[in-house]
Amino acid sequence: MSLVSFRFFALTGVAVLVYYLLPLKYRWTAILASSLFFYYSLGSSALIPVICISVFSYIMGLVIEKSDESRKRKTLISIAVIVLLSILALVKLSGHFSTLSQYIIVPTGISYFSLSIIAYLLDVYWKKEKAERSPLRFLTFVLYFPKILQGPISRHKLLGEQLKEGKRFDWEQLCFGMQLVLWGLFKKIVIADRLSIAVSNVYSQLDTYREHGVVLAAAMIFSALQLYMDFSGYTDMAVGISQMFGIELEQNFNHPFFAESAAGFWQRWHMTLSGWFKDYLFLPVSRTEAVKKLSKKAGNRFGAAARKKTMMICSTAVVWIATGLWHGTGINYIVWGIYWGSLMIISQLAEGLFTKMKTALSIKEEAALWKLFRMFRTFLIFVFGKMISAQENMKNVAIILKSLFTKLHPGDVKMIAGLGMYGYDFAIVALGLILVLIVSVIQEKGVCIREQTAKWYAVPRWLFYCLAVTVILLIGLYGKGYDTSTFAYQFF
Amino acid sequence: MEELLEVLKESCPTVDFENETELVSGKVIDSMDLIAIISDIEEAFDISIDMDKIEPENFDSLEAIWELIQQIKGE
Repeated sequence: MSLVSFRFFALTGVAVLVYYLLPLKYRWTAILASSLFFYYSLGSSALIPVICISVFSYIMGLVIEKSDESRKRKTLISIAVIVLLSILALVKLSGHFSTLSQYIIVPTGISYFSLSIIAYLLDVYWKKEKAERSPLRFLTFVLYFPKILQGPISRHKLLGEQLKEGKRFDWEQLCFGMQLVLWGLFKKIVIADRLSIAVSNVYSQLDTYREHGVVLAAAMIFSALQLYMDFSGYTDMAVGISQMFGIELEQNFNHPFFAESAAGFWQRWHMTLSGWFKDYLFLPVSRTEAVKKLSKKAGNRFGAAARKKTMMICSTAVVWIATGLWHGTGINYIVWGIYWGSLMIISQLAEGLFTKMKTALSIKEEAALWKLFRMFRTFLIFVFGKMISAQENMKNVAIILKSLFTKLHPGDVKMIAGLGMYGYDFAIVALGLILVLIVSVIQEKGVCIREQTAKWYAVPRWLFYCLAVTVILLIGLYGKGYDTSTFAYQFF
Repeated sequence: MEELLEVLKESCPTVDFENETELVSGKVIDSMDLIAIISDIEEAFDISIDMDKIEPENFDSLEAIWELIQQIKGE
């Protein structure tokens, strides 16, 4: 079942209706039933492994909580994490071996729910939360249908509690949720799906375009914008549907293209993933004996600052290689992880040098032009990184790089019009992006647009909603001939 | 408390531990400072600080850190 389909919206509608008809205590059962139905519709065979993983994790949570002995607890959590990571690794690596892939069922969303489960088990182990008592409620947390395909990587502490308590009907929340779903749909089927036509056209015919650096540069920018519109569009839909149930999900994006540095970018992009790596990998790695010893040695020799920097380098390197591997096991993902990790490390190490340079050049930190330059630079860093991860192999990355530096012919600009998008499509994408930019600027200033529109009189407000739906239906790409069933981050 | 102050000053020489009351929540120290502090305290006071104790309120001031050490020693 596609997320952009009448069936999915009908399922959501029925789930919301049944949810509010049930007694408060049992409302989560409506979400469980719809999640099971949705997951079954994605591929019936995957349901069994997911249920097995959930049962195993549910039992481990309870056993870890009940165990008093520190050594036993450590053994139990190690077993649980190793089992979950091994399953994830097996699924991810199966793609490289055709014989193995025949026997492996790939459960949709495993990269996302595995991290959520590991976070839950570690929190129980660290006594930061209580183990879930109900196995079915735990299954609802794992399979929660609005987020199962691409996150956000929810924490049990937040979602589990809300499922347990049940939410009372709130008309405003329902309306806000529907508006967010519409906004996400707009980003996905009006903008992202149009851009994806041009991107796949270029990347699938790299040999044809290898002599045209301008076309490749355009494809790289389109690809970055497409990913943001697609992924943040899905997240808006997931958060919006949750809001219709009165459930609050974690924020996954905070206008990442307004970030002024690589580190700032990852505090705004896929925030639940970076938050997960910070809490469950960065901190524990920093506290390992090996890192402690190494950093202390550096500190004794070169001072307190060197100690911190050594610690930062070790933990950042581990985190970014792991982030690359989480996205995929191909060499391009490892290079992508090293690329981002190196940027983070260099920016921290050279912080003093950059400050000196800014002082020497009399650059004012608060100057609008300087901020714009930093935003543009961060965007280009992202565009380049996205190009690396979008290629099947490093040979293609080399081809693109070579073209960018040696085959930039301004006359090729007109070729961009022949990439499968018509003039009409370019106009819609441009207007759509301008709209997203305006909304982002307003939101960045702390204004909640949905709260503002809620203050309008009923007639203009509903006319506006109807107009928004009509526009999406008229200019969105969906139906026969369009593959809107997949989202870009679904296969990570 | 004097011993703790010495340990902290050695970990982060530029921070004013005697007067700051929002070390973590006010972002006076970053995550790397915090980890260095935890590691030094563990070594100096021969204790182990579990992950559930790593919360901003336990590290926001000299007094809060001292209280945490006493609490762990008493457990």
